[in-house]
Amino acid sequence: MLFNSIDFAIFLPVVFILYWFFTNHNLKLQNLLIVVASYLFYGWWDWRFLSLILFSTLVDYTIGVLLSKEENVTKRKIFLWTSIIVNLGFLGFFKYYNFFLDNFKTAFTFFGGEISSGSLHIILPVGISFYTFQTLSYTIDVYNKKLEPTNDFIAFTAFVSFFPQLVAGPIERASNLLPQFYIKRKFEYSRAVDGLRQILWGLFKKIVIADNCAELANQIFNNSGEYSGSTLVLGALFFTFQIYGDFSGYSDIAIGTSRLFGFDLMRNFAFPYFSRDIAEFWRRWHISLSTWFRDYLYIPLGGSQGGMWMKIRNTFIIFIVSGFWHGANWTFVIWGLLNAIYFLPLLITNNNRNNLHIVAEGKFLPSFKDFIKISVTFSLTVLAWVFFRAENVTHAFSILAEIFSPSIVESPKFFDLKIFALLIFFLLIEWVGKSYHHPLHILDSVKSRLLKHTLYLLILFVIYFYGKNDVTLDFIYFQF
Amino acid sequence: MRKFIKKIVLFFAFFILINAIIYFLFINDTHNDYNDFNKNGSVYLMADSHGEALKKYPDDFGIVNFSYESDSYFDIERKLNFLIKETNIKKIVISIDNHCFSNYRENINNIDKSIYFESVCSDNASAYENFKNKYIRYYFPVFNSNSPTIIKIDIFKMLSNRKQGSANLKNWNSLTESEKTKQSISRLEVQFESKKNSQKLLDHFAKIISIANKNKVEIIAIKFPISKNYYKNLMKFDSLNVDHLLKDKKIKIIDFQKVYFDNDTFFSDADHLNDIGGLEFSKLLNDSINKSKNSINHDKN
Repeated sequence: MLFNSIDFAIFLPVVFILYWFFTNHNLKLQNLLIVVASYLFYGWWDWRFLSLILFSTLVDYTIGVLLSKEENVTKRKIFLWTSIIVNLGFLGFFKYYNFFLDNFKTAFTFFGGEISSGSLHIILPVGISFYTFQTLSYTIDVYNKKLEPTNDFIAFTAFVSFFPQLVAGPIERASNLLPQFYIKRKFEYSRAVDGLRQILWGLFKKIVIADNCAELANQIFNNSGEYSGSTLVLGALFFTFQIYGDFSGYSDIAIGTSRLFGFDLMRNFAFPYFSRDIAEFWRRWHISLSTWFRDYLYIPLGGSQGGMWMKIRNTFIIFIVSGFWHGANWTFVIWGLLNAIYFLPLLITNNNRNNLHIVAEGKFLPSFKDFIKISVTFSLTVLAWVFFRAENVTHAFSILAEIFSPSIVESPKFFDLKIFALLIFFLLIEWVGKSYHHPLHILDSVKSRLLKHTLYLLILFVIYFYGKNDVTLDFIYFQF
Repeated sequence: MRKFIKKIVLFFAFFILINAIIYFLFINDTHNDYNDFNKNGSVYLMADSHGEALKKYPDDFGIVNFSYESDSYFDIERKLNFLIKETNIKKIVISIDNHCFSNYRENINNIDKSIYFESVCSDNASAYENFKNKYIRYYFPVFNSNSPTIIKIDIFKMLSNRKQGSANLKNWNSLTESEKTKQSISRLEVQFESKKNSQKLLDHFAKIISIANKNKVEIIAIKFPISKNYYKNLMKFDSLNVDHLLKDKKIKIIDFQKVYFDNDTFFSDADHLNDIGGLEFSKLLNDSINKSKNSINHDKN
């Protein structure tokens, strides 16, 4: 079920009413309602893949219980690896089987051999990368004794399948989300209102910014051979806003929806395009994934403990794995590698933790130095997105070759004033609200009801008149 | 909670009010047009905007004009199913201009309106899907992706305070040849932006034929009259051989494209007849249908 669909507009109030008015007296019943609603939400796409989520839930719940009773280190390791193999096995099969097979065939042919095995027609279950990482966090935390294993199967099932963040995150840590299912939720007016504001902003980002930019980005990237370097730069720029609006919009709706039900999810985006260096960008972009890799891969690999070479090696591993997590294509690997290269100078010079706070905090305008830093970081990011969006590596290099050719000075096509006006409006609101959890949170401190309602109406008006109400435009991250 | 519910109820009241305003000010009119037709006929003309100029003139000859603005083959399929259930339809006259198969018709269509003719329990989609389209999208225009466009057009019309048809009637005939070429090309660029034909529309067209055959409804395909200038430029854009498509299915084709080549006063724009042309063409259409044989060509030459 898509957040920007009529289905969800019916689903959400119905679940909300059942949740607060009919099951509120019984925690177990309320959690069960979340499970049923979440399975319905997921099954709307393809009910067959519900069996995967259920199986993954059963495996990790059982392993959690077994780990709680077992003190023998070897046996504990076997349990942990069973969970890792089952979860990553599913992910590997559905997401990477054809990729590895094709590359194996190519390598085999390169060395003169012949292989006739064909690819399988595999449908990627929506959200598999997200819920797999979420359940893994539970098993690893229980194994490391950072988290008490649960004996409440319903609460655990609700944690794995919690519908707002099931298919595209934020990837929640068991230590944050699971305990919230053990306690009776209390309805808080201010939290619910702020949740609704965040949903509104998420819808704006998705329907107005992402989907409008998607139309132009698709047109330019799909016919890249026909356009000049300047138009391709515009295409990359549109994609830059498309992916941000799309993914952070989804996260906003997920977090806002959770707040309506009394849950607090982790923040996933913190105005990444206002970053002053690439290290700051990665502290602000897809935070739930970056911190997941930090906690479950970077630190176990030794993190920054083993000297400079170890730090560099681990950083490259994290970025490449993160790239590969996004999809079975070399373009994602190169995208990760490119970000690692961007990161390298900061790491070597120990400047990777320079900008821990948001830019121009408490001021309306950034300093000139910060402005230049933001512009450089943004440009590097735009360039890297070319790899992320391109069909394959050759396609990405052909686009870059055209961008760095004399045609860069030609007048670009698709210079749509309407889109630029919308982007300026969007960036302005994000800039003004950058010190908050989400930009519209600033309205909490605004006393004038007239001003608040005018802004709500303006956003709704823009969504209605300038939004792309086209449900065929899926959220990009569903494919990951 | 009470405060929250109070505000939510207020928001929903506001939401319903906004929908009602949009519905009655802008959408209702287009729906009324769409439903306004004679259910007692046996021959029905189904086309897109090309059929609009004929208004109700064909009624005098026993042909019911059931065309509407941007009807696509998806809409026509729905309407045919409806006519089979609700009327004594014996024959359909259907437009087969090439642009009807172009990809742009996939997006520019009337699926939000033709849902009126779809039963909630139709075989084409689930009851829930049909309910959603037939009632929620229909009566809550905020959920209808076409409604902002309808509002913009209506407001534009209100502001410009003139009917497009009459303005163009005067214009097309008085345009210079190069102005005509410019307008023709600009229209063709929209119609044939993509060189590919829509597989979806070809599939729906095939379904129309199969439904008609199953219910013993005769199909006559017609190509509407177009201006000479448009025809000349069409040759540069056209790619699909629709004649071939129809001959394979043994459907009668009547080609009227060239009948008014020397009479630009019959056109409101490059490829649409005006009121006078619509009246003239209604007579010609009636004569031709009565005399129709396997394939008739009304070429001037």
